Amino acid sequence: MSDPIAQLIFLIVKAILLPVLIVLFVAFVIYFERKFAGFFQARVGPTYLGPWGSLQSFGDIFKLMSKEDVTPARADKPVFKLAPYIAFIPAFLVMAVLPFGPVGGEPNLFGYRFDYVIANFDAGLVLFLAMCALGVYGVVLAGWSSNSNYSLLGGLRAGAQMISYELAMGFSVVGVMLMAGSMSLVDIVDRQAGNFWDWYFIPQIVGAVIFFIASIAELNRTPFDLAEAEQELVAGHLTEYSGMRWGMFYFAEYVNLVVVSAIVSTLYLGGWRAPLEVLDFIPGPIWLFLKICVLIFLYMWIRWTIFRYRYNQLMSIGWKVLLPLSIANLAVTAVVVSLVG
Amino acid sequence: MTEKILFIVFSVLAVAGGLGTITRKNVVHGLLLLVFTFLNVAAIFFLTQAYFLAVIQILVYAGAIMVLFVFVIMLLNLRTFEQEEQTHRRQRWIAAALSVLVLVEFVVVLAGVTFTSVRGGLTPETMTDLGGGTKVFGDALFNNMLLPFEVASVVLLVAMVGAIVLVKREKTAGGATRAWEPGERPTPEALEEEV
Amino acid sequence: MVNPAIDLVIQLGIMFAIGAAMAMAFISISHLLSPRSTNPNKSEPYECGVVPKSDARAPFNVHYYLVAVLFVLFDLEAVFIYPWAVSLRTLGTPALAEMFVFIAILLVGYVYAWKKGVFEWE
Repeated sequence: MSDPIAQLIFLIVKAILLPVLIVLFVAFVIYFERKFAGFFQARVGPTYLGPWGSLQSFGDIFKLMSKEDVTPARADKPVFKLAPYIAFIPAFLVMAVLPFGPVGGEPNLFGYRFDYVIANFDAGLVLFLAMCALGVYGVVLAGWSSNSNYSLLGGLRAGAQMISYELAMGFSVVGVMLMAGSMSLVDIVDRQAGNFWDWYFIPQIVGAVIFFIASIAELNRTPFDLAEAEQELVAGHLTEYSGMRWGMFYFAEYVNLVVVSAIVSTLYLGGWRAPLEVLDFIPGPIWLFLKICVLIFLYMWIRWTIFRYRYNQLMSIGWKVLLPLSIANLAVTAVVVSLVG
Repeated sequence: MTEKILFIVFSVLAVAGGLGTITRKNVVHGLLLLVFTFLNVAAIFFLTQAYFLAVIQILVYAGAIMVLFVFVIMLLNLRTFEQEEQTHRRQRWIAAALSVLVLVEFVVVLAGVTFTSVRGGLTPETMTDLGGGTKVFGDALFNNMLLPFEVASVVLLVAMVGAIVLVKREKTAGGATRAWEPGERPTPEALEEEV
Repeated sequence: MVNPAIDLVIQLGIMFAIGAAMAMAFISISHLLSPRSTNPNKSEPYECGVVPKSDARAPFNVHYYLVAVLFVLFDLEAVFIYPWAVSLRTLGTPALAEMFVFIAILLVGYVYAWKKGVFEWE
């Protein structure tokens, strides 16, 4: 078997395993979100399906699939049907550039080189930002095509919110690019080799916090979930969606949550690397998974603790606080990098 | 061989998307097809190993400028927009003549160009040695293209100030920008728009 | 798996295909399982029980448009910064000064927007 054919087989295996594992994991993330919500609110959360209710998500998916899929008469039908796909697919392209283990080097599997990444190229980080930008369409088009007042307002709000925080996000990652001298996620992880004090979250603490806050807004989670503020907008851009099409938006939200957590750990928490060099014997994917779990818990903790912001507060935080802070962080990092070399 | 097939596939899709854009009556459908065209153009950039350019194509054109277009289309009243389209039938002939002219122009310009790398010797292999396309691009931009780069910032500034001046005009006359006149009672719809 | 560019297009293409296939699978299984019934009242947009009077797609606050314009312009600025950030080490101090001039010019626009109240929402 020649090396190109082996690489092709590896590619197919990776391209099927990674999304399937992430989607399965998402089912449990949704379960844990509900369990944690119960815990934070002194309830029990789901209990019936499976041990401690752990199979609840699978029951929910089956329920959603057997619900009727209603398309409103006044809706723009092609766009209404396309919007869930636009919300769902970009996250999968981000998975392609995500390194989940060592890349390159000596042959490590049956005499062939197995790279723990699907696509390694020198603009992977910008691809993530580009996919975030495409995510705006899913929300805005869902809101526009439904032709309902609540949907339109929800979609607009979400669109304006996502583009505002995308800027802060785009500027805050420049600090990482400066330090790593690369936009490839594989290189960025390699530059963080060593122990946990070599990770970028220490020199880039400001950038990391801005990126994390902006990512909450990108994910439309509380305290920035104004798109579906149920007290004012029913369900925002999702008002007219039902059945599995609604389920796709819901699912996409959690797939994005997992993918964004993976990106945060790659950029600032050393990606798949062990926190101490002596722990390197534990494989990279496990470390990445643990970091993703910690970050997801953090996202949930924030969601069930902090109140939703008002719209003008949201825009002020994005434009008046995070954007100037991220530019200042960029400038300071640039000066330090060019002085130290 | 594979490269040629992929190139043909993506260019056919891109051109099809472009044709769809100008033939759709519904503006939003046309806009989505334009995004589709941009994504295919990005794929062609990927094929030429211009990875950074490809991703920027998605980030800026598909992700930023088209989002602005969506907002603009939502800002205009679509219904009146579609009616206006019907009243300008004679413009079609002028537009057709102009597009033939542009096509001739393109053919003439492209026929006179030989496609070699500008600074010579930038093959894919040397690009990899220099640290990837993005790095080569950065070096070129900040060594040889310095003036255009700084001019770009002034152009962006002008665009920013221009947009603010145009939109914020009413604010100086007193009161916020509203969809109704000061004396008039706001309709419930207008109130709902004031998010 | 020889030409890196073709590899990359195939790799990204496969991921796109898997995402699309998964989404389509969810929707088509749902089509097989779900009931269907039509009713003119059901297909009306939701208005808390009130019959909708007009089309929802009416013009909205011009402020959103302004935010979108500013987003495009700052996004373009970011796009100029990315290649600079990657090659700052090789470019050295002159590039640092060049970029500071670039950012300073755009900050003028940012301050102007702030003073004009673009970031204020009522």
